[in-house]
Amino acid sequence: MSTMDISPAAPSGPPRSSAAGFNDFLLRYASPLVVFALLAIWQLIAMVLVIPVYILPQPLNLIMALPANGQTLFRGWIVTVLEASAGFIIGNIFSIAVAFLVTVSRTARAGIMPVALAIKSVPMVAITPLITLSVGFGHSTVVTVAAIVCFFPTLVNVSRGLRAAPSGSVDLFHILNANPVHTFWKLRMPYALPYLFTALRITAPAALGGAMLAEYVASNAGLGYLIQDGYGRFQFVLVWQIVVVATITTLVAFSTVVFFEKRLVDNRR
Amino acid sequence: MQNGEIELVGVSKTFPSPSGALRAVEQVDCSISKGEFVALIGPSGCGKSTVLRMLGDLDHPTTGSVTIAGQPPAEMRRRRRIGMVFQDANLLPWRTVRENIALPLEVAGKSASGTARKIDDLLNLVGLADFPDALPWQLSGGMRQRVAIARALVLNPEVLLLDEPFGALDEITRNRLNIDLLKIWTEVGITAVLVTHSLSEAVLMSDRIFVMSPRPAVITATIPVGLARPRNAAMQRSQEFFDIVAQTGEALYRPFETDDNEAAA
Amino acid sequence: MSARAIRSETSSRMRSLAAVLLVLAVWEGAARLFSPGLNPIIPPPTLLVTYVADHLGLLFVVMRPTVIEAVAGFAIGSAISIVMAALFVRFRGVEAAMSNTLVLIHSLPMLAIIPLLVIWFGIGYTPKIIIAALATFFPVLNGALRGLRSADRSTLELMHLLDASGLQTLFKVRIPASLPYIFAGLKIAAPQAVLGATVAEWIGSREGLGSQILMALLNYDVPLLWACMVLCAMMAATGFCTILAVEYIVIGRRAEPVKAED
Repeated sequence: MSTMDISPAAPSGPPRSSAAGFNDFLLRYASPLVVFALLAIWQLIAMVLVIPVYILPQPLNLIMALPANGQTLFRGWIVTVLEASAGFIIGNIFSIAVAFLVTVSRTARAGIMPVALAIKSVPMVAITPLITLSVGFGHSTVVTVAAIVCFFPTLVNVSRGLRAAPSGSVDLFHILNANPVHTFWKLRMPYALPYLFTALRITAPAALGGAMLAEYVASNAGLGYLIQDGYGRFQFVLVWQIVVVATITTLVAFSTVVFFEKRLVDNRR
Repeated sequence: MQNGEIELVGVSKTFPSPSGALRAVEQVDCSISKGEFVALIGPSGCGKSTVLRMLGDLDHPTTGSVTIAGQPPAEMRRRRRIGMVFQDANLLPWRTVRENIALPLEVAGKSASGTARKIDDLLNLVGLADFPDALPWQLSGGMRQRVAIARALVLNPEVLLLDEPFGALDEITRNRLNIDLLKIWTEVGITAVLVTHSLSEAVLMSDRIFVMSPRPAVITATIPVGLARPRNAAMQRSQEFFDIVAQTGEALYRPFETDDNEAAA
Repeated sequence: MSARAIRSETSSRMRSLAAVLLVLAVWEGAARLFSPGLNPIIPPPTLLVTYVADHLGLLFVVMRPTVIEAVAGFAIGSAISIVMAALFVRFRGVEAAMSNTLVLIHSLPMLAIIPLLVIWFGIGYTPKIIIAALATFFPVLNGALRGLRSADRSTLELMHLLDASGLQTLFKVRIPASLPYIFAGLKIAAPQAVLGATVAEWIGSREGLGSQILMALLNYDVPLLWACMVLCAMMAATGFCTILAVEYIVIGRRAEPVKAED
């Protein structure tokens, strides 16, 4: 006799035939394979066509030249990473605080949002020199730029997230006479977390990019500066190496955020 | 009884699921005559929508056969002989009422000149003659479903499938729409299959009611509805109406009451 | 973002405009109060306006290359990304195969690849257009992907019921449904294209807004720097508003109007 459980279960995907198994394999590994293939093609083209090293160095050359430039690269890299991290932390914390303020107080919202919008509308490239003039050359400018880059995306996303809890649930907490801390911790925060991570996914790479941009103009240390210096001195291999290092760093930063997102954010909805 | 417009013979449906196969429909055999209005009623999730979707070629039976006018649903769908109304009206939000109704005509490649008249007729039929250029967001839920009904009928289909079309609406609107749907059906003279979990709706609308058991579904009873046509709202307060509702209800609730009795024993 | 959210964003921008004007007024007052001599870094707005008015000709000459680069890059980047999005939706395998490559390209720091592009293409327009296109690419791709996938299952089932061909479904359902999302992506991308073009001018260029900004910085020419900054912002804003206008023309009344967002 049939059970009382009459809620329909959603039919899941296609049956697991062997053809489907191969398909899954392909879907999972196709993408990294494509990247690898592209790298291989790059190596072959540069090798076979004997392209001058300043136009297209072979990936292998870049790796082999690492020891030569290693120290310079590493020192530059550390500076950039530290500056970007500092800007990331400061910018995001400040931005989250403002997001709270803006959610709680309508007057704050009316006053702050337009200013934030105005700042956002001015591309970073234009603000950086201004900050350089105000704050001076060096690390503080770079960190400030990185922080500003992080400010707006996080502000928008977190303030959206703080309002994301469904009103029905808010009413429930109200009826249960839950204290504000409970309401925040058990209701608003879980709903806001995905939005926060969306912002972090944007701002982590952005902080790195912004830091490098600022270093190019306003610093004599860091990867951004090294690009300017290397390019000026025709050290193109170094420039290429910086590209690779910077890209990998950005990827790692992004992946770290995604890593934490997967563990902290419940995606089972 | 083999010459029905719609024939379901030995139809079953099993879905694969993470926890093993899910048998949604155990065995369904029935025959629906041309021009008949039948209702499929059963508890939530019992598989009645699955049966309807099989008629519309949106799902395929695991065993058994489904035919409409002697053809498989896939063929009828290809020929666009099936009209379907979903619980959500599913109008394209960027098209006006008129344009939404015209959608099947465009897809079927019919010329614009001949079709304007057809759309006007349908607008009159469903009671939306005053709103041809309205956008979906401007319409109430009931009006949107009227558009959906007109859209389902615009290609003069062979059968009309309705999947709890008024389920999302309030009772009063629902009742009014049902009466209007009956008028439309009488006028168009089409074979109609209605999936519902409302007893009174099933009795009001149909010539026969197929009562389905909880999952896995079988047809536990076929209730003929002898009320005179054309039906009207007043009939819903007649003794005859109540009797049929009771009879259907008895068949519908039988599986649950048996369980209760066993539990109490 | 649904069409509804886009509409509410427009009206709240109106209120923002009012607030910005208020800020400008305060700025003017404060800057004058603290006398230009003591605080050269933030001149009062009126001074800026007169500076811009005086040097209008020069500034337009400076702006022209940047505008060309940004617009060209925006157009190319948008076109490529929309086509790519359509391909991805049509051929799921392609998207799966390209996903890591796309992440990689997205991770390339803009500044770092500019020198490489200059090495390859010289100091003409090309590297700047490429950078602008790259900056445009990802927001529009995201928007187009979300948009083309936004058609819900029931609507697609309806098209299946009507035995509509893939192309019919694309043109009658997917594309109209995707327009709000595509425009949302374009609106994000427009300022990014301006940013890309301007940054690209920092390396190996002698004309355009970006290089002018750099020179103003090195020469400590504060009014010029501010003027360029304002122009840069205005370019970005103009791009945004243009898309907004086009969106209104294309989508316009078909989207439901909403109350302003709180």
